[in-house]
Amino acid sequence: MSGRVALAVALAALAMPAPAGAQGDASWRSVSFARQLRDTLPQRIRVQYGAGRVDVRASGEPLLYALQLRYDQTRAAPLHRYDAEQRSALLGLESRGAGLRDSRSGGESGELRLGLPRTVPIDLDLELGGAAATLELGGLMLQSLRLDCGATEATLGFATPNRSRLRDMEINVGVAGLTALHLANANADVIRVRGGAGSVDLDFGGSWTRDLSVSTRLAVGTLTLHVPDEVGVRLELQRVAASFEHAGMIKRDDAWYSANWETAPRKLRIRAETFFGKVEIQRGVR
Amino acid sequence: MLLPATLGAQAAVAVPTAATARDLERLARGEQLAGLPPADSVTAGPRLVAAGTTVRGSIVARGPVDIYGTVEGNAVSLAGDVTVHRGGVVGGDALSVGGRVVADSGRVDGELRTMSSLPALLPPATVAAPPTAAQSTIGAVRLVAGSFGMLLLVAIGVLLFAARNLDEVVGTLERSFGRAFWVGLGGQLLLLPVLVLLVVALALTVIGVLLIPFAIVAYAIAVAGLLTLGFLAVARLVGGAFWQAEGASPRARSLGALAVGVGGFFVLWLVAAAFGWAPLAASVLRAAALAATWAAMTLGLGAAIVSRAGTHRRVASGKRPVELASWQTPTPITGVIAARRPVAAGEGR
Repeated sequence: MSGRVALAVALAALAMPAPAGAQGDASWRSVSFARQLRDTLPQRIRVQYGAGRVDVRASGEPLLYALQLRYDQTRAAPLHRYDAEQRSALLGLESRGAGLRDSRSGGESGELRLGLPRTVPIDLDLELGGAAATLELGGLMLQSLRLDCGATEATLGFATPNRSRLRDMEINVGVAGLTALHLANANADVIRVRGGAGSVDLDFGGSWTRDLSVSTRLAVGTLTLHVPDEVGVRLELQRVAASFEHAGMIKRDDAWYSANWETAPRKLRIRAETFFGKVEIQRGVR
Repeated sequence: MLLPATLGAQAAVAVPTAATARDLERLARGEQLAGLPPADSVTAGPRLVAAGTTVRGSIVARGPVDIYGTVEGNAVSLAGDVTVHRGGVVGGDALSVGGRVVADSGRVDGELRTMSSLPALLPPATVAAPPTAAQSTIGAVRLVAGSFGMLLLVAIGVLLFAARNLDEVVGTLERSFGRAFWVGLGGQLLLLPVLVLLVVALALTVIGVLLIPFAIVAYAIAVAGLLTLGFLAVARLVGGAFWQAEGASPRARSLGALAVGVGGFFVLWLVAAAFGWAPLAASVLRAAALAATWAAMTLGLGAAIVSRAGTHRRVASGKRPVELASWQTPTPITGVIAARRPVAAGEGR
């Protein structure tokens, strides 16, 4: 309805944030926060970050977290709350109200670096708005992982195996590109990926210790799955106007099977839903 | 040995300056550090807490801080490292401005914090407080007024560049009111399926796949155009019932009717917005405004579809009254007066 459109446009105009960089470079600040490890009981770590570069990885330091931030203090303030009773930390940046959609001002851009311990079981929750994220989570003891990406170009990797059984792994992608590498190292039972629009590239390389179930739902975009040759694949695919490149898989009943499905020592069960775009399976890892 | 924080500071030269007080305020407010000592207790240079001693409260120094004993509060260096040595304990945070915090051997119960500079004194970053009722009302009224202004600008543009299309849609509304409504309703229901069908049809062809994004954008623009044209037509029809400027030019009459009609619809929204302070009343009024706007949109969309965005002249369907003598060949052809061709008024000029 045009009235609604007009209302929306007017709202957008009224809500337009003030031009960035008005305060100059002096408003940019680097800080770091860390907390010593007291024990190795499970912890919950939640990260909220609006826009900028993000780097999360394992750290060898005896610290529960080591957070480094570069940010514009006129637009945001650090988040570093720890609840000892709940054993949970909330880390990142919170807006001062002007919005964090554009973290660049005065020629600088925001950055978050987070180091996490290898010896503590962690439920990790990452909420990233518009960010370029490198998440190398190999070597941690993740028990659950939830990743929400808004307009993020994210690379999620497990270069070394996750040291705990990952009960649940959920990735929600808005309008973004996601590349996930060595997912077998995640040591996960179930992986769920939801995407709005963009490209999702899942590489199931790594060390296979158990069978894996993956469900994906992508509205518009390309879903590419890289699966090692020795892994058997079963794919249930629901698509509306999406093409499918099956890499030699055979359709039986309602699913596609790789030729080695019955004999493969490890099996990957995929349930994929996509509306517009492409689903592609490539044998061999990236 | 148990020492109060201020007593420990007496060993060094105290610097009770305004600058120090300001720095402490920035730390307290910007870093939410509680229990900082007064400015005259800040150590001017290095600070050492010896093994076996306990400092009650926090310590702040302008030089490096070395802790072998216990600090029950925070340990802060404004210009140097904070080192918690083996056996050293900090009960609060260990914080260094422009330096490092080293606590490999000691214990820090709070956070280890470093920063490139002291925080600026800014209002705390909190989730914005919910607007008051008055602010909400003013905001809603501004929004409605802004939307009204924008739609009025669009209306003027339509009058300038597509007046005939608007006339035709208005005419269709006058002649086929009921049909326009049902067509509009059907059109709304079919908007999404038609888009999906279009995309699927394009996806089935190799080259068409590339056109899908453009097709979606074009479709959205076309729908928005039809809705706008239709709504303006309804607004003009309604406005025309109240605004009958006898003697004015057709364009002025049309503009006046449009302004009155659009204003009429926006008055509904304005009243709803003005009752923003009373949520229940505002909801009811907003629902009424929404219903009226939706009805207008539906009618307008239907009329725009029936008249093919106002390009389907009535003469084509034979329903427009024809002025039979409006055109005649002035010159006899082969001695016989040419046949009269029925043409609608205004055409062929």
